[in-house]
Amino acid sequence: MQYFPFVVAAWILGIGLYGIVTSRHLVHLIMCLIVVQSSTYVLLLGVGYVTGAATSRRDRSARAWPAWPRCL
Amino acid sequence: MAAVLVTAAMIFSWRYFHRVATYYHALMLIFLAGMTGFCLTGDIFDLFVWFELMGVAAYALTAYRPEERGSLQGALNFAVTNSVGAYLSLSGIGLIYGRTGALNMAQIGTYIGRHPPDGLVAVAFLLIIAGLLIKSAIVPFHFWLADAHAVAPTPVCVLLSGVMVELGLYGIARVYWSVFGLALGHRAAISHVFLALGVLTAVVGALFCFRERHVKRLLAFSTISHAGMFLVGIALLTPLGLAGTTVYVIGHGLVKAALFLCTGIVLHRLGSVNETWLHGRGRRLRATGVVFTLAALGLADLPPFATFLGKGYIDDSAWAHGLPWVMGVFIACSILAGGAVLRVAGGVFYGLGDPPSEDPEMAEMAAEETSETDSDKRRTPLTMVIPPALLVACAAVVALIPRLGQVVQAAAIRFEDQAGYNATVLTGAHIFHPVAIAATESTGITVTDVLTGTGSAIGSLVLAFLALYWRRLPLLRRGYEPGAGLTAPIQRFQSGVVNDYVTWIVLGLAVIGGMLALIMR
Repeated sequence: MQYFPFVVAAWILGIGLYGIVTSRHLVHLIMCLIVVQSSTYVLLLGVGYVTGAATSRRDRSARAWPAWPRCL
Repeated sequence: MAAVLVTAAMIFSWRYFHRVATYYHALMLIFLAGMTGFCLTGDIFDLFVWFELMGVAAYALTAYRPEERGSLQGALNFAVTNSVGAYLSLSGIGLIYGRTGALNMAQIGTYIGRHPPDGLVAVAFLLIIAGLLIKSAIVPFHFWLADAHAVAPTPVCVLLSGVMVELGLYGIARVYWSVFGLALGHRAAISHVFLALGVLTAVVGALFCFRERHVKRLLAFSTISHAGMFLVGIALLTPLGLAGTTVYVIGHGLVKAALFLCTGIVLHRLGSVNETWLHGRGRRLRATGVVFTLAALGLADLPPFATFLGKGYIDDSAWAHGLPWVMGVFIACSILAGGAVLRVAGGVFYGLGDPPSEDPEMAEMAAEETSETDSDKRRTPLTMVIPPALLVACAAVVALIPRLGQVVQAAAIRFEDQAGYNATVLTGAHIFHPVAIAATESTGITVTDVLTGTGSAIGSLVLAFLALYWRRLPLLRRGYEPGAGLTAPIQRFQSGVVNDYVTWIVLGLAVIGGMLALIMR
């Protein structure tokens, strides 16, 4: 199950790109672009879920917080 | 650099448009903000954000006249291909974040540098540079660039060609040296992959450039060719190569901006950018003609322009690393691209060469371009002539700055010193530079540099004259039309349909990914 979100993200990316390549209608094409975009959402959700889910409250306080809020 | 070009473009556009919507200036400044932020950020997610900001401003500027079909189509191609690239980059950033839990480039670099590289790091690297390769118009990701340049307002072309494409390459260099360099281990094979891409881009761009008749598209293909040369300079992975690329980018940006601004003046006065139609009609634009010709010579690497210095450094570095053929490729591409631009200069501004046969289709195509500019066409405002003249002067002066080579090379050494960068960012250590991580190479201007620069400029002139007078050559007289048999396949190749462009992107990515997989195995 650990790899499931990544497989889904790759699949959505793939069908989105396939849609862009085969599309003959501009609105349809933009829709496919949005499908490609949504694959990144799934991927980011998958990444976030894996990093945060398994830790208990105590672990989380001990662990270094993901660095991005400090570095932005 | 970006700010200089934006200022020039803004002064130019002061009198250029007949009705400037207020959003034009705002978009230009947002574009500038995106480019500056992209250079300064030390965080890989911010890199993506600035990249997108830059992209969105550029899409909107390209579609500045949305009521026209061509303009909308070009901007849409540009937007779709670059958005796909941006999403691929974002996926790569997501993967690397999932692995390291960090977004700061130094932190990521330290983390993945400690572990042997695995598939995930390679995939993330591939995805991140995919977006940047598309932005920097490397073959086979280059298709959007010519379409976008053909329809974008001329001051916007200055920025697209002079800065944005080069920033894509800067992004590749930055991501490589700040993040993935230690992990991927600076392997020669990776350098060879990029070297091959760069050479392919340089050659394809130069060939397309030479057969183009639409002046803005011609300049766009010349930009593609130069982007390939810059990638070669980066792919050498040496401080001198990177320093040469930097100088070359500065020189090329200034010269190319001047060329685009002169094209804008031609469009303003004569209402067309079609070389065949314009033949001999630009004789009255004397000042513009002189500036255009000087800039074209600068593009062909004539010494004292900065382009010659940058190319000389890359050549020297390639020579020192056993790649002497790089010099030959560079000279050939410079001759082709410079010759094409000089052909335009000679034909349009001096009426040299045989007048082309009038083609009714050409006149029709020429008439399409008129709506961008002012209706008052009797004289050229001073604000339009001075910026390109100043830019050409800058390009000549930059190369004459004493100790430029050493300073730029020291900067390049700092740029390539990943351990030093990590230490500075993460622990606040102050590193004195240059540290001898790589032997510094001589930055003197050698006789070879001057000879190759002059040689390619003279070659360009000869080629330009051949192109102008080819009908009189006995060899070619018998009804030979250059490239006549090639037109159909080339048009199929450069179809203007965004579907094909994305197909090429996917194919190109698959090929590069396959090569990387072979290397990493």
